Amino acid sequence: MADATRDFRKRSTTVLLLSLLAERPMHGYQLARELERRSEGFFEFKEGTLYPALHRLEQAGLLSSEWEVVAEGPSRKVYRITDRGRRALADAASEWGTFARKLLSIIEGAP
Amino acid sequence: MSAQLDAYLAELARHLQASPAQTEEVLREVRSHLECAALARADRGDEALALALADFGDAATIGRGLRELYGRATWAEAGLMALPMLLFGGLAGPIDALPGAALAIFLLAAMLAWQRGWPAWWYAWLGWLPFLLPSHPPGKAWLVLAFLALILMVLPRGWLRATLVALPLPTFWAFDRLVMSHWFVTASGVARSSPMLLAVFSLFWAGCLVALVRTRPGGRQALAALAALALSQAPHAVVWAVARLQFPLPESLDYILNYSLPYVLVNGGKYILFLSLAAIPAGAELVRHIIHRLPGWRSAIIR
Repeated sequence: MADATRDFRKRSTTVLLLSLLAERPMHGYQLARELERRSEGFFEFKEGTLYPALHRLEQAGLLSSEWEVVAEGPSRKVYRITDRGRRALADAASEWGTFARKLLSIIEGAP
Repeated sequence: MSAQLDAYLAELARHLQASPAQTEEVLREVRSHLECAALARADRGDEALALALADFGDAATIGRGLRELYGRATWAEAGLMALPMLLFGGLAGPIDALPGAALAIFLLAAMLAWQRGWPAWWYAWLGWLPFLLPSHPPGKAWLVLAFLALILMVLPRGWLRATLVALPLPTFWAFDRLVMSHWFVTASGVARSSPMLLAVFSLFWAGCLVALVRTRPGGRQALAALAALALSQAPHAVVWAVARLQFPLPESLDYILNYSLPYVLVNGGKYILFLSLAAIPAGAELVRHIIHRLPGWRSAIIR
């Protein structure tokens, strides 16, 4: 069961990242903190594993990035969602919505 | 603090195996993340960076994840990818005689791959499965369907893995039609296959495969895949040319129309189909890469 939950979380990484970046541009560390805060620790993962996912989305043209120089502290690579990313997010959100509804209708109907 | 961070980044770079520019970009981003994370834990004093590193994950895992995007196969991985080409391909003489042993080696590799979470090298083995099955339908149509299904199944995991799965098809065809069919002509004028030449061809194919997986990811690697597929056909051309020089075909029109042309059309057509199937993932990646690099308005039109 724990494996299923881990697999489920892993598969949802793309839609989670796109959703957060649809609200505002963020850098990797900010994304990690936001995911942890909003899910109240449910989406617990090693922060470094976000980067392969972010870079893959950027290579697919769903995100773009640029370095932001900060006066105090280290400069940061900020990611923002592209138009193509927004379309992909809409499709993914619709698929996840349908999946969740169908799953719940079966689980709640079970004796 | 700096020494600990530098050691971590050095280890990450070692696992990344990317170009210097890509490595620098990735390390700069990771350094920035870790510095932010350590700053946020400033109240923990000397422990801050250690805690940030623990939350970030170990360098090997993160490096492997990024290597799939930017890095290339290590020599050990490339060797594991080339091994089935040598075992089941041109050097297959001894294993051909012992199909059970070939299947046992394949299953052993499958178990190892399963233990390691199905790494990229496994896909170079997977494509040999159709040839190792104890029984299969007659003819070659089933092979095309089997490989089409394999390619479609693996494609979501990346074009390179799909190419690795597809490679045994043209390899098998090459050895089956040209090498095993006694196209080699000995000095005494007797046509027969030669174990030494089989070995040389196997190593040449394996060399093409290693060169492909050692090329850094991106459009260049897709181009390398197509070049490797094209280059791997060079031995055919050499064998065909040698055979023709030693045994020129009769030049009568009847012979050409009734024998040469149908032979070339049927077998050449099959071979082109097999090669094309293997080239689809790399071709698609190359097109995607070109479109991605076009200026915005042009790529929007194409999309």
